[in-house]
Amino acid sequence: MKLPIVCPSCENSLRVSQMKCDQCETEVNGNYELPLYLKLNREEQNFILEFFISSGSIKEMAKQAGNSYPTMRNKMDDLIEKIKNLKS
Amino acid sequence: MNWQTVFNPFSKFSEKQLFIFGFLFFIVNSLVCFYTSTKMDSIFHFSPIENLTLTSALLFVLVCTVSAILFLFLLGLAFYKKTRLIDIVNTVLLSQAPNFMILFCIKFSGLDTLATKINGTSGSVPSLDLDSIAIIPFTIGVFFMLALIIYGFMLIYNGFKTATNLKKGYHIALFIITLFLFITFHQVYIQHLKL
Repeated sequence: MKLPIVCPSCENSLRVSQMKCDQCETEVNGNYELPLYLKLNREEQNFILEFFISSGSIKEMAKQAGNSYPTMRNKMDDLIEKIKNLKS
Repeated sequence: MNWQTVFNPFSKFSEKQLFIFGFLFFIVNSLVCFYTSTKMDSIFHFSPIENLTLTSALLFVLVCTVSAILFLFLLGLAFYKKTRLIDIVNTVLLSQAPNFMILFCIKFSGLDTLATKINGTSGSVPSLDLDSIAIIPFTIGVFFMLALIIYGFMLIYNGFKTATNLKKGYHIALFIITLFLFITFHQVYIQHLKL
Protein backbone atom coordinates (compact mmCIF):
# COMPACT_ATOMS: atom_id res chain seq x y z
CA MET A 1 0.00 0.00 0.00
CA LYS A 2 1.28 3.47 -0.90
CA LEU A 3 2.03 5.80 2.03
CA PRO A 4 0.26 9.12 1.49
CA ILE A 5 2.57 12.08 2.14
CA VAL A 6 0.30 15.00 1.18
CA CYS A 7 -3.20 15.81 2.33
CA PRO A 8 -5.74 14.75 -0.35
CA SER A 9 -7.88 17.73 0.60
CA CYS A 10 -5.53 20.74 0.86
CA GLU A 11 -2.24 19.18 -0.43
CA ASN A 12 -0.35 20.20 2.69
CA SER A 13 2.33 17.81 4.08
CA LEU A 14 0.91 15.08 6.30
CA ARG A 15 2.32 14.22 9.74
CA VAL A 16 2.34 10.94 11.65
CA SER A 17 -0.27 10.87 14.42
CA GLN A 18 -0.45 7.16 15.24
CA MET A 19 1.79 4.07 15.12
CA LYS A 20 0.91 0.55 16.07
CA CYS A 21 2.86 -2.58 17.00
CA ASP A 22 1.60 -5.51 14.93
CA GLN A 23 2.57 -8.05 17.60
CA CYS A 24 1.21 -6.69 20.89
CA GLU A 25 -1.11 -4.07 19.40
CA THR A 26 0.46 -1.25 21.43
CA GLU A 27 -0.51 2.10 19.94
CA VAL A 28 1.59 5.27 20.08
CA ASN A 29 -0.13 8.59 19.51
CA GLY A 30 1.56 11.91 18.89
CA ASN A 31 2.35 14.46 16.21
CA TYR A 32 5.52 13.42 14.41
CA GLU A 33 7.05 14.87 11.30
CA LEU A 34 7.66 12.46 8.40
CA PRO A 35 11.35 11.62 7.86
CA LEU A 36 12.90 13.56 4.99
CA TYR A 37 13.16 10.48 2.74
CA LEU A 38 9.43 9.84 3.08
CA LYS A 39 8.61 13.41 2.08
CA LEU A 40 9.86 12.61 -1.41
CA ASN A 41 7.54 11.05 -3.94
CA ARG A 42 7.79 7.38 -4.89
CA GLU A 43 9.83 8.03 -8.03
CA GLU A 44 12.36 10.13 -6.10
CA GLN A 45 12.62 7.52 -3.35
CA ASN A 46 13.30 4.85 -5.98
CA PHE A 47 15.93 7.08 -7.57
CA ILE A 48 17.82 7.36 -4.27
CA LEU A 49 17.51 3.60 -3.71
CA GLU A 50 18.84 2.86 -7.22
CA PHE A 51 21.71 5.28 -6.65
CA PHE A 52 22.61 3.45 -3.43
CA ILE A 53 22.35 0.00 -5.05
CA SER A 54 24.57 1.04 -7.96
CA SER A 55 27.29 2.12 -5.46
CA GLY A 56 26.70 5.79 -6.15
CA SER A 57 27.52 5.59 -9.86
CA ILE A 58 25.32 7.87 -11.97
CA LYS A 59 26.91 6.37 -15.08
CA GLU A 60 25.83 2.88 -14.07
CA MET A 61 22.33 4.11 -13.21
CA ALA A 62 22.04 5.83 -16.58
CA LYS A 63 23.07 2.64 -18.35
CA GLN A 64 20.49 0.59 -16.48
CA ALA A 65 17.70 3.13 -17.04
CA GLY A 66 18.53 3.53 -20.75
CA ASN A 67 19.19 7.25 -20.33
CA SER A 68 22.21 9.40 -21.02
CA TYR A 69 24.63 10.46 -18.29
CA PRO A 70 23.68 14.19 -18.32
CA THR A 71 19.96 13.33 -18.06
CA MET A 72 20.61 11.24 -14.96
CA ARG A 73 22.98 13.85 -13.48
CA ASN A 74 20.34 16.56 -14.04
CA LYS A 75 17.74 14.41 -12.23
CA MET A 76 20.19 14.00 -9.38
CA ASP A 77 20.87 17.75 -9.20
CA ASP A 78 17.14 18.53 -9.18
CA LEU A 79 16.64 16.04 -6.37
CA ILE A 80 19.54 17.52 -4.36
CA GLU A 81 17.97 20.95 -4.80
CA LYS A 82 14.59 19.63 -3.61
CA ILE A 83 16.13 17.94 -0.55
CA LYS A 84 18.04 21.13 0.33
CA ASN A 85 14.76 23.07 0.17
CA LEU A 86 12.99 20.47 2.32
CA LYS A 87 15.80 20.61 4.88
CA SER A 88 15.77 24.39 5.18
CA MET B 1 11.61 5.10 -31.89
CA ASN B 2 9.71 7.87 -30.11
CA TRP B 3 9.76 11.68 -30.28
CA GLN B 4 12.58 11.82 -27.75
CA THR B 5 14.88 9.80 -29.99
CA VAL B 6 14.28 12.22 -32.85
CA PHE B 7 14.08 15.59 -31.10
CA ASN B 8 16.23 15.02 -28.03
CA PRO B 9 18.64 12.15 -28.67
CA PHE B 10 20.92 13.68 -26.01
CA SER B 11 18.67 12.42 -23.22
CA LYS B 12 18.79 8.83 -24.38
CA PHE B 13 22.00 7.89 -26.17
CA SER B 14 25.47 7.62 -24.65
CA GLU B 15 28.10 10.25 -25.47
CA LYS B 16 30.06 7.68 -27.48
CA GLN B 17 27.10 6.85 -29.75
CA LEU B 18 26.26 10.53 -30.21
CA PHE B 19 29.86 11.42 -31.03
CA ILE B 20 30.17 8.67 -33.66
CA PHE B 21 26.96 9.87 -35.38
CA GLY B 22 27.96 13.50 -35.07
CA PHE B 23 31.44 12.94 -36.47
CA LEU B 24 30.01 10.93 -39.36
CA PHE B 25 27.72 13.83 -40.28
CA PHE B 26 30.62 16.26 -39.86
CA ILE B 27 32.47 14.38 -42.63
CA VAL B 28 29.33 14.12 -44.78
CA ASN B 29 28.66 17.86 -44.39
CA SER B 30 32.22 18.73 -45.40
CA LEU B 31 31.96 16.55 -48.52
CA VAL B 32 28.57 18.00 -49.46
CA CYS B 33 29.94 21.55 -48.95
CA PHE B 34 32.72 20.70 -51.39
CA TYR B 35 30.32 19.07 -53.87
CA THR B 36 27.88 22.01 -53.81
CA SER B 37 30.67 24.66 -53.75
CA THR B 38 29.32 26.15 -50.55
CA LYS B 39 31.32 27.42 -47.63
CA MET B 40 30.03 27.15 -44.11
CA ASP B 41 30.55 30.59 -42.58
CA SER B 42 28.83 29.89 -39.27
CA ILE B 43 26.67 27.20 -37.77
CA PHE B 44 23.32 27.20 -39.63
CA HIS B 45 24.76 29.55 -42.27
CA PHE B 46 26.19 28.93 -45.73
CA SER B 47 27.22 30.99 -48.73
CA PRO B 48 28.29 30.04 -52.25
CA ILE B 49 31.97 30.23 -53.15
CA GLU B 50 33.91 29.54 -56.32
CA ASN B 51 36.96 27.24 -56.58
CA LEU B 52 36.45 25.62 -53.21
CA THR B 53 38.93 22.83 -52.52
CA LEU B 54 38.09 19.82 -50.39
CA THR B 55 40.61 20.92 -47.76
CA SER B 56 39.08 24.42 -47.60
CA ALA B 57 35.56 22.99 -47.34
CA LEU B 58 36.69 20.78 -44.48
CA LEU B 59 38.52 23.66 -42.78
CA PHE B 60 35.48 25.97 -43.00
CA VAL B 61 33.26 23.34 -41.40
CA LEU B 62 35.94 22.61 -38.79
CA VAL B 63 36.46 26.28 -37.82
CA CYS B 64 32.70 26.89 -37.54
CA THR B 65 32.17 23.75 -35.47
CA VAL B 66 35.12 24.32 -33.13
CA SER B 67 34.26 27.97 -32.48
CA ALA B 68 30.61 27.06 -31.80
CA ILE B 69 31.79 24.38 -29.36
CA LEU B 70 34.06 26.86 -27.56
CA PHE B 71 31.35 29.50 -27.40
CA LEU B 72 28.68 27.11 -26.11
CA PHE B 73 31.05 25.44 -23.67
CA LEU B 74 31.98 28.77 -22.06
CA LEU B 75 28.32 29.80 -21.95
CA GLY B 76 27.43 26.40 -20.50
CA LEU B 77 30.07 26.74 -17.78
CA ALA B 78 28.71 30.18 -16.89
CA PHE B 79 25.24 28.65 -16.40
CA TYR B 80 26.19 25.33 -14.86
CA LYS B 81 29.65 24.44 -13.57
CA LYS B 82 29.23 20.69 -14.19
CA THR B 83 28.88 21.16 -17.97
CA ARG B 84 31.02 18.59 -19.82
CA LEU B 85 32.86 19.38 -23.03
CA ILE B 86 31.79 16.11 -24.69
CA ASP B 87 28.09 16.98 -24.25
CA ILE B 88 28.62 20.35 -25.95
CA VAL B 89 30.69 18.72 -28.73
CA ASN B 90 27.86 16.28 -29.39
CA THR B 91 25.26 19.08 -29.26
CA VAL B 92 27.06 21.09 -31.94
CA LEU B 93 27.91 18.09 -34.13
CA LEU B 94 24.39 16.67 -34.10
CA SER B 95 22.66 20.03 -34.53
CA GLN B 96 24.64 20.44 -37.76
CA ALA B 97 23.75 16.95 -38.98
CA PRO B 98 20.76 18.04 -41.15
CA ASN B 99 22.97 20.58 -42.99
CA PHE B 100 23.85 18.28 -45.89
CA MET B 101 20.14 17.88 -46.67
CA ILE B 102 19.71 21.68 -46.54
CA LEU B 103 22.56 22.06 -49.03
CA PHE B 104 20.99 19.49 -51.35
CA CYS B 105 17.66 21.35 -51.05
CA ILE B 106 19.32 24.63 -52.04
CA LYS B 107 21.07 22.93 -54.95
CA PHE B 108 18.21 20.91 -56.39
CA SER B 109 15.05 22.89 -55.57
CA GLY B 110 15.94 25.87 -57.75
CA LEU B 111 16.79 28.12 -54.81
CA ASP B 112 20.40 28.19 -55.94
CA THR B 113 19.44 29.41 -59.43
CA LEU B 114 17.08 32.01 -57.95
CA ALA B 115 19.81 33.37 -55.66
CA THR B 116 22.25 33.61 -58.58
CA LYS B 117 19.63 35.49 -60.66
CA ILE B 118 18.89 37.94 -57.84
CA ASN B 119 22.61 38.55 -57.27
CA GLY B 120 23.07 39.17 -61.00
CA THR B 121 20.39 41.86 -61.26
CA SER B 122 22.22 44.27 -58.91
CA GLY B 123 19.19 45.74 -57.20
CA SER B 124 16.58 45.73 -60.00
CA VAL B 125 13.68 43.25 -60.04
CA PRO B 126 14.84 39.99 -61.65
CA SER B 127 12.82 38.30 -64.38
CA LEU B 128 12.08 34.91 -62.93
CA ASP B 129 11.10 32.26 -65.43
CA LEU B 130 9.41 29.98 -62.96
CA ASP B 131 6.69 27.92 -64.62
CA SER B 132 4.08 25.98 -62.67
CA ILE B 133 6.11 22.76 -62.83
CA ALA B 134 9.29 24.37 -61.54
CA ILE B 135 7.44 26.04 -58.69
CA ILE B 136 6.38 22.70 -57.14
CA PRO B 137 9.88 21.35 -56.30
CA PHE B 138 10.88 24.90 -55.36
CA THR B 139 8.07 25.22 -52.80
CA ILE B 140 8.59 21.71 -51.45
CA GLY B 141 12.33 22.40 -51.22
CA VAL B 142 11.81 25.66 -49.31
CA PHE B 143 9.41 24.08 -46.83
CA PHE B 144 11.63 21.03 -46.35
CA MET B 145 14.62 23.29 -45.83
CA LEU B 146 12.76 25.41 -43.26
CA ALA B 147 11.72 22.26 -41.40
CA LEU B 148 15.35 21.09 -41.34
CA ILE B 149 16.59 24.45 -40.06
CA ILE B 150 13.98 24.43 -37.28
CA TYR B 151 14.96 20.84 -36.48
CA GLY B 152 18.63 21.87 -36.26
CA PHE B 153 17.82 24.71 -33.86
CA MET B 154 15.65 22.34 -31.83
CA LEU B 155 18.58 19.93 -31.55
CA ILE B 156 21.01 22.62 -30.42
CA TYR B 157 18.51 23.88 -27.83
CA ASN B 158 17.69 20.41 -26.50
CA GLY B 159 21.35 19.38 -26.47
CA PHE B 160 22.42 22.51 -24.61
CA LYS B 161 19.48 22.16 -22.23
CA THR B 162 20.47 18.58 -21.40
CA ALA B 163 24.17 19.41 -21.08
CA THR B 164 23.65 22.38 -18.77
CA ASN B 165 20.41 21.47 -16.94
CA LEU B 166 18.94 24.67 -18.40
CA LYS B 167 15.71 25.67 -16.67
CA LYS B 168 15.70 29.31 -15.69
CA GLY B 169 13.83 31.61 -18.06
CA TYR B 170 16.55 34.26 -18.25
CA HIS B 171 19.20 31.59 -18.99
CA ILE B 172 17.08 30.34 -21.91
CA ALA B 173 16.62 33.90 -23.20
CA LEU B 174 20.34 34.61 -22.84
CA PHE B 175 21.19 31.39 -24.68
CA ILE B 176 18.93 32.27 -27.63
CA ILE B 177 20.13 35.89 -27.88
CA THR B 178 23.85 35.08 -27.57
CA LEU B 179 23.53 32.18 -30.04
CA PHE B 180 22.10 34.49 -32.72
CA LEU B 181 24.75 37.10 -31.93
CA PHE B 182 27.46 34.45 -32.22
CA ILE B 183 26.11 33.22 -35.57
CA THR B 184 26.10 36.78 -36.94
CA PHE B 185 29.53 37.63 -35.52
CA HIS B 186 31.06 34.43 -36.90
CA GLN B 187 29.85 35.15 -40.45
CA VAL B 188 31.81 38.41 -40.37
CA TYR B 189 34.81 37.02 -38.52
CA ILE B 190 35.34 34.05 -40.84
CA GLN B 191 35.67 36.37 -43.88
CA HIS B 192 39.01 37.52 -42.46
CA LEU B 193 40.41 34.01 -42.27
CA LYS B 194 42.43 32.80 -45.24
CA LEU B 195 41.40 29.17 -45.50
